Amino acid sequence: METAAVADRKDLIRRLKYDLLGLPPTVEETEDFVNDTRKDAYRRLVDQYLSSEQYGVRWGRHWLDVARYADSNGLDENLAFGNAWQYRDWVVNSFNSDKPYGDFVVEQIAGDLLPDADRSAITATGFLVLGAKVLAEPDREKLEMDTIDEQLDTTGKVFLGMTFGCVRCHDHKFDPITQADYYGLAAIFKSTQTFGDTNTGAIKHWNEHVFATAEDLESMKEVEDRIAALKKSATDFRNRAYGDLRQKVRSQAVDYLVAATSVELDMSLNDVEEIAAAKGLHPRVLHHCRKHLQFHPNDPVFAPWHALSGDKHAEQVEALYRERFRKAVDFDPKAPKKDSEVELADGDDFDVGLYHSALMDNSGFLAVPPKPDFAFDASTYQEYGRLMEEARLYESAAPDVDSVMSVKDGEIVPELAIHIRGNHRNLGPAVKTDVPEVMRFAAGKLPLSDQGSGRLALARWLTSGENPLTARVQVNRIWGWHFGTGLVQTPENFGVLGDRASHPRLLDWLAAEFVENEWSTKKLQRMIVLSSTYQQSSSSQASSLAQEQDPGNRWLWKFPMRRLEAEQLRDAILAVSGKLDVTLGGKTVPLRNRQFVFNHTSVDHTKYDSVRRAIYLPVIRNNLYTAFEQFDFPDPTTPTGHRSVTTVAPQALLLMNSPLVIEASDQLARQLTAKSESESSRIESAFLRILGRKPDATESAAASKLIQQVSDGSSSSSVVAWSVLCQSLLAANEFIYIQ
Amino acid sequence: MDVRTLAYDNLPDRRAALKSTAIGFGQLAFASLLQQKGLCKGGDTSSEPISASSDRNDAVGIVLGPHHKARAKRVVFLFMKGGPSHVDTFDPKPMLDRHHGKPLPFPLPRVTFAKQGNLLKSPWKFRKYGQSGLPVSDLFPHVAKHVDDLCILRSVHGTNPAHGGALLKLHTGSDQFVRPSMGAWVTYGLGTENENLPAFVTICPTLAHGGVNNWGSAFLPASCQGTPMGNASMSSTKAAVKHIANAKLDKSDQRKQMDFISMLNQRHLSENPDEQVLSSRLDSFELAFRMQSSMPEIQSISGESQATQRLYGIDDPVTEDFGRQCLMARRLIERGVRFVQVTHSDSEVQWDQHSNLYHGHTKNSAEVDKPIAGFLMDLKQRGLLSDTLVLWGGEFGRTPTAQGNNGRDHNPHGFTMWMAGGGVKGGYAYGSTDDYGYYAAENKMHVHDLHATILHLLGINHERLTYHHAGRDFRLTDVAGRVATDIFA
Repeated sequence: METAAVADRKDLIRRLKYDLLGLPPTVEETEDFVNDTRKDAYRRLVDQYLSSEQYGVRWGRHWLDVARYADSNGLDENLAFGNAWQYRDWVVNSFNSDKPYGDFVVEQIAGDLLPDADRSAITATGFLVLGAKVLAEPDREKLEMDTIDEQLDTTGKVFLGMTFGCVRCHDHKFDPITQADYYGLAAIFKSTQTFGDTNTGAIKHWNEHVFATAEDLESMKEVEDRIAALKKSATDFRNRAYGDLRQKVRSQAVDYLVAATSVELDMSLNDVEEIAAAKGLHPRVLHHCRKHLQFHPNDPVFAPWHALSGDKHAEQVEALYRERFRKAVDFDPKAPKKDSEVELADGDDFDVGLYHSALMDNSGFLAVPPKPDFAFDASTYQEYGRLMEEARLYESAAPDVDSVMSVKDGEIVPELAIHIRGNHRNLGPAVKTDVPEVMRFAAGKLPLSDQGSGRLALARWLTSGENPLTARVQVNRIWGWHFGTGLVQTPENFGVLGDRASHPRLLDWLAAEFVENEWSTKKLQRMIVLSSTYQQSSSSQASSLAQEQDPGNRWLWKFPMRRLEAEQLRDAILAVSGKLDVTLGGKTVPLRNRQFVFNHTSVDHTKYDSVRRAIYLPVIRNNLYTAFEQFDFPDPTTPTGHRSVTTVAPQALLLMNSPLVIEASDQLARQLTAKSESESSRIESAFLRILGRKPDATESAAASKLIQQVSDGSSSSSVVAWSVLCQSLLAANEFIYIQ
Repeated sequence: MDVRTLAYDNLPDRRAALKSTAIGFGQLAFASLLQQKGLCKGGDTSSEPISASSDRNDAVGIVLGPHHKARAKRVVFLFMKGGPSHVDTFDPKPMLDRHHGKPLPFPLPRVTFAKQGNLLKSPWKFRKYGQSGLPVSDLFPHVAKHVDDLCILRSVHGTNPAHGGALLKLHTGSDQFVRPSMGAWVTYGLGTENENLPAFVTICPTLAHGGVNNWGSAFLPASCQGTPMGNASMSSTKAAVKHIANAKLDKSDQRKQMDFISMLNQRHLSENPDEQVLSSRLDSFELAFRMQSSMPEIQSISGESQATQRLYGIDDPVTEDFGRQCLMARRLIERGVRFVQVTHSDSEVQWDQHSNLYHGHTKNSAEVDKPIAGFLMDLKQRGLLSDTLVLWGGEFGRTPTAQGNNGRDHNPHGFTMWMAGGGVKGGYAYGSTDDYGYYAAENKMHVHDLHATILHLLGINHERLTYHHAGRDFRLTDVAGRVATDIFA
């Protein structure tokens, strides 16, 4: 097959820098490379990028896709993973230091069990804890098996390219994995502790390894106390306000009953409000009072209200209830027991005890609305909101106990019963801890002599170099991250139902090289990006014959054009406008560990206006950052080795209307208009900075026309008009696609 | 079998078959993007499942015709977050009144959410309504007037007793994994009828308890995901699609900008004529531009008559918020949106009355009763009810036993939802719970069965609406689902 020509240098540097660092080249960088006549100019560029610390930011993010990384639990109860960032930083650092992939795997599965387990190795086991868990699941047994299932399925997909999930309930329908194999592996995780011993109400806590000293913990108590105190002062305020309101409403009990005589059952709250206002009553309480009367026509306290009707209803209600409620207020139900029937002056019998109960019943006829914004007046509500916000802000910014998400060995179960149809209430024969039978290659039998959970043995078995899947699966993913598609298109499924490799011998060879080169990721990548395949042009005009033979480009006769991924796009927008901050590492999720991201309020407090690189933006499960969600950021609850690429209208809305793009365009416009320049050279700078090339005459004329039209011809340096131009370039396909 | 051969087992290449249709997929993706009307039609009676695969790069959307004659064309789900009590609304239990204060005469489920006490009778009276004489409690006097249009499902049950799990189960069929939501499945199967609007819209959804997963597309094509308008924390007057308006540019300036972008993209396309996705993106900008006009137009209800607004209770602060949501739902379906969810949710988990049942339910029903009745009336008057399936309900019901002295706990073991319109029997009660309302008893309808039935009403065989992902075919109903044909009109 005829292959495409070598890409031109502008395209090549743009492709390489986005690929290795996730960033666009600057104008100067491109110019230098284009003019570099040394024979090894490209090789030098590759080495320069591979040694940049931004490399780890880009490639670490690929791994975070696989590790289903997130900063919150998601699923049922969305608590912040306030310490997940340490795992994220461990991943970035591992890529930057080119940690051998074998070690990289062992530490994530069993770092805590290594003889020299240090903080870094323990942090790595966060991998097993990051899954989304049904934290409020009341059935503990189910919760445990669900969690094990998630760990097993993730481990299988990530390291073996095997889908184990379905084997929980039945033997794999297509791959040679049986239920006995599944429960043999599950026993390893059953012997591993993923949950801690603490909880927030019905919500269980995941396990964390605490590094804090007793002293640290003591000082942390002050922080906890302060959080509790702030929350309490908000609740106390609320309770006091409710108390006052109830007291007031009770003192007006008869007024409510009287006013209710003019409230029709179906009356709108607006009309009720008028009646209430005239008498100094709370409209919603009155509204409820009328409904309560309707629902309780036979209640001895309210039957008389219904019996009295007609023109004089109000006066009669007033006359009947005034004295009765006066007595009811004074009635003491705890006083020595006596007949609570009281005879009024006019000889009317009534049970004062019942009246007293009705008056004091918080959900009775004088119930006040449970929603503070309905119950309180504006200033009280505002003050309550202020106190709540004060507590939330303090908690969000408060320091955390020094700890990391991690697993540890728990009670060791050497065997586990098969769960028939996956049901933890329906147990079959027990199976011993082991790897799947089909994978028990001669030297690879799981050595379980270490008496532990078997995690370390499992990790060693995976990375012995004898298990061919481990290297093959990772090499395939790396290839896919460079070319957009793996040699096997289903990176998490190398089973029978997975895709078949387009170049099986290449894949095997790369895998063997990978192991031979001491699992060095950078060496593998260097080989890939220096290949002539990688350096081809993406232009399909190069070979119309190849286009006919292989329109899908499965044989890579040209470089596949790629759309920028969510983070690349977002970082590029900030980078070309000069706003991007490339600092590495640290806690960036603006929430304290285990703080609610959302409680029941659905108020989204998470901000995404940081100008750090996108890997440092919070990954909130159940409510991803819009720019991520729209541009195919993967579902952070499941391992993803290959992101899909979709084209949907909300992406266009985001490019047209979001503050992210508009603010970057404004910034660019301000920079462009700051210098006194001719319009045409300004247009040229805009094209250069954003698209990395100069406009041709047609484009230049069109841009000029756009600027004149938008600024109404008033001033050619109108920032608005230049911002519109810059935004157009940021939204253009040429900016969003890599050649 | 040796592990080394796992990947390359000598199987027929099933992708070879798909290869010949690769261009077809591309066109379908394009069609889905534009969501054209014509493609959703056509009675496919072949045995081919509606299915595609996420393993392919180019399979980003598929729109096929129905499996059998559809009774309903669209769905509106009125979701009552928190779990309204069935024994206090649509499932009267005289035995509960009689044995008030006594212990439940049979065992509780193995797992309950909270501690429960003795039986608690309903504080509300039930009255018979309509020709059918079906009983409705005093909590829903307005909806009760439409009882002859309601198909009351009294035997719904799920599996999860916590809000998060139950919401996910009801919306996606799974409380353990992230799976496509039912609206996404419906969209995947049927597409939309309006090229200017998304096919699936959710108004003021809750961000808690599963959040976006409750309207997400998971592994289905992204174009199937629900488009949220606002969320539960905001008033429905502010409920809008994200980034739907430009704060700075007026329409005509933005049009000029669009033309300029389009010119750049055309030139780029002409240099890369084989990249179909580039032209899809051109179209996506045009669709977005049209949505900018069509969505705010739907949101603005100022064109609706006073009488209509009153019908929905928009003149009353108690009913205004939910009334507006219902009215927006009508405006959306009228314009061809396939699946609309309206959520009644607030900062207190709305219907979740673990205590103070009486007060909480009184308030909640007052907020929705009139708007729902108005919505049903309006659909009927406009001839929309006959082919619109309206679904009402929460993620579970509540226990007949008391929690504390005046509340009820979560009950996923038997509860009530109701349907109206869309080819279901009116004035009909399907299934039952036991004498006290704890467990579904007759004609039990699991959440999977509910999903199967909804799909069936829309002309889709739930066993044949599949999507190939991660090595197997997935369904909304997993490996379960029984269609409740008894409820069909």
